[in-house]
Amino acid sequence: MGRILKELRPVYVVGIGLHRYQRASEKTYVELGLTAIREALQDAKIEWEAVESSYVGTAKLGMAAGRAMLRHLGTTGTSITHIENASATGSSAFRQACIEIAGGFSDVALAVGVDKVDPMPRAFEKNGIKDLASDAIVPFTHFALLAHDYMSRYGVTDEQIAQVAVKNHRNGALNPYAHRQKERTLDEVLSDDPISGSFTRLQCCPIGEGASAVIVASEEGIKRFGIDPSRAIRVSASVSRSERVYEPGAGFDAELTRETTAIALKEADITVKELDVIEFHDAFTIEELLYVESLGLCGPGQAPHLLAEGAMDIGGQVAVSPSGGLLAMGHPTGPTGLGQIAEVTRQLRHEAGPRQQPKARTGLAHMVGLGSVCVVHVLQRP
Amino acid sequence: MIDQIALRPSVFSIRGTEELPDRPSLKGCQCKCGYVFFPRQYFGCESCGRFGDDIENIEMSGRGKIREFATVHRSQRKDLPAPYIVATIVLDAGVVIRGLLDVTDEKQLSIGQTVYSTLSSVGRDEDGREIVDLRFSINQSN
Ligand SMILES: [Zn+2]
Repeated sequence: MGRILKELRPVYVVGIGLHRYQRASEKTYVELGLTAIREALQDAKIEWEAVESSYVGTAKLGMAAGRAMLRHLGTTGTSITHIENASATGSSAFRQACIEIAGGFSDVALAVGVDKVDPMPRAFEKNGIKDLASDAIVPFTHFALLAHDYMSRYGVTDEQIAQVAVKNHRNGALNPYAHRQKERTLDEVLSDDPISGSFTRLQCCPIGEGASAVIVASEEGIKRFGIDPSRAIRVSASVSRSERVYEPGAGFDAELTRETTAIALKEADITVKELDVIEFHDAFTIEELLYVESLGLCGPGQAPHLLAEGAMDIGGQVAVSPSGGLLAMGHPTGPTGLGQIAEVTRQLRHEAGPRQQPKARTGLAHMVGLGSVCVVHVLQRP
Repeated sequence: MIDQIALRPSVFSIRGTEELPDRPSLKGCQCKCGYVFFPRQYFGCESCGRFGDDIENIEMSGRGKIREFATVHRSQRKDLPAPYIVATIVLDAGVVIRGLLDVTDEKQLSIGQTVYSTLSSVGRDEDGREIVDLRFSINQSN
């Protein structure tokens, strides 16, 4: 029988840093990544020499991105490992860093996600299996189809789904690291360029460039480097799962999310009601509603009502995507999952400024990635 | 008719099934464990891991019901100008697939509507033969 994170050495997030998510620029990934890492080191108030191991999450840069970036911090000869897990790349880099601390291999470890807007070679398309129309049904259409099913199944309107974009853009407008920092009205969301099905451009996440860095440490690491323990946030669960065979036609993203989040809550030994902050993989509006239901915050078809009541707003029952989520904060891919951890940490430290969910103690970060894979973390203020 | 060739011959057949002879059929597989899947492959069954000879070819009739649909306004395929319409279809065989519809306005569509496979001309090969791809149509007559 395997162990769960909580049974091993306690792991704490002690430093977070980001480079704003943005449209493609002239900046190299090295500059983006170093900005995020230096900010994380400064946040933890430690020197680079304290970091004993680094996990570099990138989905698009290609081979050997890590040392070419990290050497500019002053070489220390420590371990560098690259992680790719589609949209969950950053989440998996974070998980590996947590495992390294929990297992006692290091006392301080870095997970950094960085990506530019590069075309991705997609291995899963090289499997030699021809399909009928998968190349005509890319992710935005996959989720547009799920949105149509959801609307017809529960009598929900496209306006109700578009409200997710209104909320997340409102949150993103308060986040200096967000790709989209402009509030949008429902009319603006609905009248934007059509993409697929009921989705307009503002109901689909922007894919730009950026970087996120998270430093994790053991209790020994916190003591040894004089890190402020009152700003350290405990990682209480780390769960990674992949898609199985479900009933024909079942929404596999929601099913996979259901089982992964259930395990994460159990490992953290909390109920869904204890969550104050959630960052979901809301690459498309419908996803947030589906995952709210998968997590068990409400019954099937009820999420639009929860949203309309303001229960998912900052200041509501549980702040969902206070960073702006993928919809407004953006989805540069490698950084995305780590950007979620940074936001949840900021919230649980009560340092989120105008985005602060009052009295936040417990948060959850969730990513799904093509394939499909799902990675979920629960963080708690000690 | 004999001068037509399928764009993706491993995915569908111009010939129909015994049950539905006038409609192109879809090439699926059934594993010894009972799991039926599409598209066809012998690398291994996703449900149980059996492979090779334990996986049998089946031909699925080109008829099913619409589960959901969407008009796509941004195409990633040069040979497929937007807008086009796609649907999730529950085939009579019980397998859920996604395909392109031979329909220009989604107002003609409803959930639960029966659709039939049909061949759509997508060009000609070097020998002048017509290349056809599979679409789904709402018309019962071919
Ligand atoms: Zn099988």
